[in-house]
Amino acid sequence: MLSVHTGLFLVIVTAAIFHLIPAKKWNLKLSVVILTSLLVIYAVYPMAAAAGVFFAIYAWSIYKLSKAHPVIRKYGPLTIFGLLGIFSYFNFQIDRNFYATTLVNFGMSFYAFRLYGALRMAPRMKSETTLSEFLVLTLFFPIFAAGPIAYQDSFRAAFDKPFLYSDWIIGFLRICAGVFLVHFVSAQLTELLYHYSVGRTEVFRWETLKVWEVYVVMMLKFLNLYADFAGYTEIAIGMGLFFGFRIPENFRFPLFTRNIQDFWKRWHLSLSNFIVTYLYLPLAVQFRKPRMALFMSFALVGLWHQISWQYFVWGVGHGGALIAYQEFAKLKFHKSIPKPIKRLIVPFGTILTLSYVAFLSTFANERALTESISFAKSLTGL
Amino acid sequence: MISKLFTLIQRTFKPYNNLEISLKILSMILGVAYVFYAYFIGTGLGTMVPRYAGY
Repeated sequence: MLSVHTGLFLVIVTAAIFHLIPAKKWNLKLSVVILTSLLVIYAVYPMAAAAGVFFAIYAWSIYKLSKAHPVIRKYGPLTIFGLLGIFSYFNFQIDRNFYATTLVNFGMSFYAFRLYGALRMAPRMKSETTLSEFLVLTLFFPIFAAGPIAYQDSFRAAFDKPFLYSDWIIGFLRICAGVFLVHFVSAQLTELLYHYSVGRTEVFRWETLKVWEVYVVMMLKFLNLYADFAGYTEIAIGMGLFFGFRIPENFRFPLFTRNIQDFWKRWHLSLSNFIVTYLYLPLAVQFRKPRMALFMSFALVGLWHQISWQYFVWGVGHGGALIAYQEFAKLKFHKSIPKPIKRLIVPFGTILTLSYVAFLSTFANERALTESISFAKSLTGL
Repeated sequence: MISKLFTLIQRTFKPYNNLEISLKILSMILGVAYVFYAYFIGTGLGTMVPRYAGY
């Protein structure tokens, strides 16, 4: 398994070679990144490397064909999701190893979004999107398994700007912050969770826990998820900076959230931008019903995470809460509340939002629907 | 040098408010301390594969 210091060493060596190659030889520069990433992913799980290359070539072919055929330009990018479904299903059938399946499936889910966005963005770019760029989008190893969802413009930032030593400094600091979040904060939270779990696993017998214990576990699990996910994003952004890539931010202190709408402006930003640009807006234009479009977008994103009832509930729960919040925000009585009282209400909004989000997250991440229902029952004391 | 670094961090996190920038700086300081501890005294820096990949 790839360790952080091996990853960092590889990034430094590859980035040094990358910067030594003249800027004009853009494809050669990217080839160095592709080669290193391919080796890293191949070493972890060969199937993931093969799938990455296949998807990139497929997306590039659609891009080339779409220039001559308007039908392919319109519908071709959507076929990537069909391909994702087929690959996810068959890979799961071939290999029941959870680690390998998780890595390949989540890797694919993320780069399917990156490729779709890249194909939609390609006609608006100044120059052609090359095969090397499609390959970097699927294979760049720091963003492979957990995002963020970046497009070709994030990588082209390195083409437009020369080498900046400040990128290396900030990159290193962000990697350190990420390692701290993942390997210290998340590790400590995991240890706390073991007090309530079955042995040293993350399996819980919800029915044996008291209501307040279920609430504590739910919040700890959510904080753990945040520390782990935000930490890896920091590492990915930091490693990208070594090359001059501008990987987009994914989190803006979601624990300071005020309401569910604010939460989606702070949590998994690259995903929420994708939802708005490529799901919500087209659906809203198509059906002319923005609320329904919002609801459908989140239901679909829930199923993108995992095709299961638990994640369907997760999507519907978020979509429904956003619609409910929008309706609530329209009510006129807000204006009559004095500002000092409004400030006092904010922390309640934060606690309520985080509890709701943590509930949906824990519900969705249980291994089976029966366990999710047991969790919900235990939390409500039923 | 410290003030240059501070300016650099401020520029990196331009849209953030002062509290958020301060927390970012704190996480970086703790991160550097932890990395040096883990690498030279502790058990290493751990792996690059997220446990919660994808969520």
